[in-house]
Amino acid sequence: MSRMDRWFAPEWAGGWTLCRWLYAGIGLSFHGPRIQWIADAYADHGFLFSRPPLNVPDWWIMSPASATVVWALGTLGLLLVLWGGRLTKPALVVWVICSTLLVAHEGLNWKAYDRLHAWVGLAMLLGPVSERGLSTKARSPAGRWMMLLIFCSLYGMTGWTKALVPGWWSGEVLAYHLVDMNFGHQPLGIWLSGIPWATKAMGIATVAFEGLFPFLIFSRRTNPWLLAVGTLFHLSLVVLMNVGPFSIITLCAYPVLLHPEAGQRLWARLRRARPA
Amino acid sequence: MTDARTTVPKLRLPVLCLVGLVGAYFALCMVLEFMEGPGKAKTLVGARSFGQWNMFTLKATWNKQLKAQAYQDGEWVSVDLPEMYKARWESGPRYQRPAFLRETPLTPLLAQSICQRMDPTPRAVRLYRVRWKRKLGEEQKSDRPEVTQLLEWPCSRRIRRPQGTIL
Repeated sequence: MSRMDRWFAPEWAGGWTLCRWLYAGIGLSFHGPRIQWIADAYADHGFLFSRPPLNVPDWWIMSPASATVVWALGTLGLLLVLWGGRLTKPALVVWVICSTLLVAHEGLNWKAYDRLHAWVGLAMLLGPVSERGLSTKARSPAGRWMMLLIFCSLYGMTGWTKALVPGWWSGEVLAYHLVDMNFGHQPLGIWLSGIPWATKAMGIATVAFEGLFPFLIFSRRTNPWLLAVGTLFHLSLVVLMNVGPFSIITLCAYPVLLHPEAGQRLWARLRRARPA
Repeated sequence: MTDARTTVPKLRLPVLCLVGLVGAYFALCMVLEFMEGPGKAKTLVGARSFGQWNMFTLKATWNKQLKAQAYQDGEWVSVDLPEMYKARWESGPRYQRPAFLRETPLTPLLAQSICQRMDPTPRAVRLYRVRWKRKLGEEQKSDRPEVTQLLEWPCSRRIRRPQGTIL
C-alpha cells in the first residue's frame, strides 16, 4: 500500500449526514430573516460599503429586486442541501455564491459566522454529503481534513491570542464582554460578570479549550472528550452571550470532527439503545 | 461496511494541494496576527478577513452608541436611527459600527445617508457618540454618559464614497 493509499484510506462517514442537516437548518435560520431588510441592508446605494477582496459594491450594487433574487436562490440552495441527494453539491455552490454576494454588500462587518459557514461549506464540498445511508459507509477522509484545518485555525488563533492578553487569565476581559450592550447583556451573563472567581474560571477554561484544541483533536483518546467540552462551551455561549448562530454553526461540524472510530461506536450504541 | 470508496487517484494530488493552500493561508493569517498584535492588523487587512478569528480578545470597558439630530423647521430634533436603519447584526445596528463611532472618512457618509433618508430633507445633521462605563454585575444604563459631537453636516453638501461612486 502506497503512502497516498494510506492517507486516503476510507473512514466511517456517518457524521456527514448530521453535519449536512445542521448546516442547512442553521443556514436557513439566519439567511431567511434577511428578507425583512433586504432593501435597507443590501440595496441602499447611499449606505453600502465594500472591502477588498470582495469589493463587489464598487462595480455592482444590487437593486431590491436583484437582492431578493439572490436571497431566493440562496434559500433554494440551502433547501436542496437539506434534502440531500445528487443536487447537494451544486446546491451548496449556489448557496455559497449567493451568500458571498450578500456578505460582500456588508463590507462594514464580515461576521465570523458568515465566514465560518462558507468555510464549512467548502469542507462539505470535499466530503460525501450527496450520498444517503452514510452511517453504514466509509468514504475519503479529505473533507474531514479540511474541517480539521478550519477548526484548528479558528480555535488556535482565537485561543492563542487570548492567552497573550493578561486580562483573559484573570477573567476581566470576559466579564466586560458579558455586559456588552450588543454581544452580551443576557441575564445570566450579567449576573456572572459580577462574580470574579466565576469569570476567572470561565476565562481560564475558554483559553485552555481553544488553545489546546489544535493539539487534542488529533488524539483518538482525547478527541471525543474535547468535543464534549466544546459542545458545553458553545451551548453556554448561547445562554450567556448574543453571538447569533455562531455557536450552532460550529457545532454542526462536530459530527465530522469526531474521530470516525468513536463516531461509529457512538452510532452503534445509539442504534442498540433505540426502542424496537 | 457496504462500501469503501475514497478519492480517485487522479484527484488525490489536487485535493492535497487545496488542503495545503488553505492551510498555508490560515498559517499566514496567524503569523501576521501574532506579528502585528490582535486588533492591530495593517498588512493584507482585507484578504486576511476570511482567516481572522479574533473573537472578544481585547478588553472593552465602555458601552457606545451613536445618536443623531437633524435641523428642521428652525430647531434640532432627534433622529430615530433604529427606525431609519432597521437592519441590525448581533454587534448592533449598521450605523453603530466602530467606523462611525469616531471621526473617520466614513462618518460624513452616514450623515449624508441620514439626510437622504429623511423626508423632508433637513438642512443639516449632527452626529454624536454617547458612551458610558460598563458596570460588572449590573444591567447597563446610560446614566451620566459622555457625549461627544462627531460631526455637523450640511445636507446640501455632496461627498464621494471612498471608491469614487457619487452617492
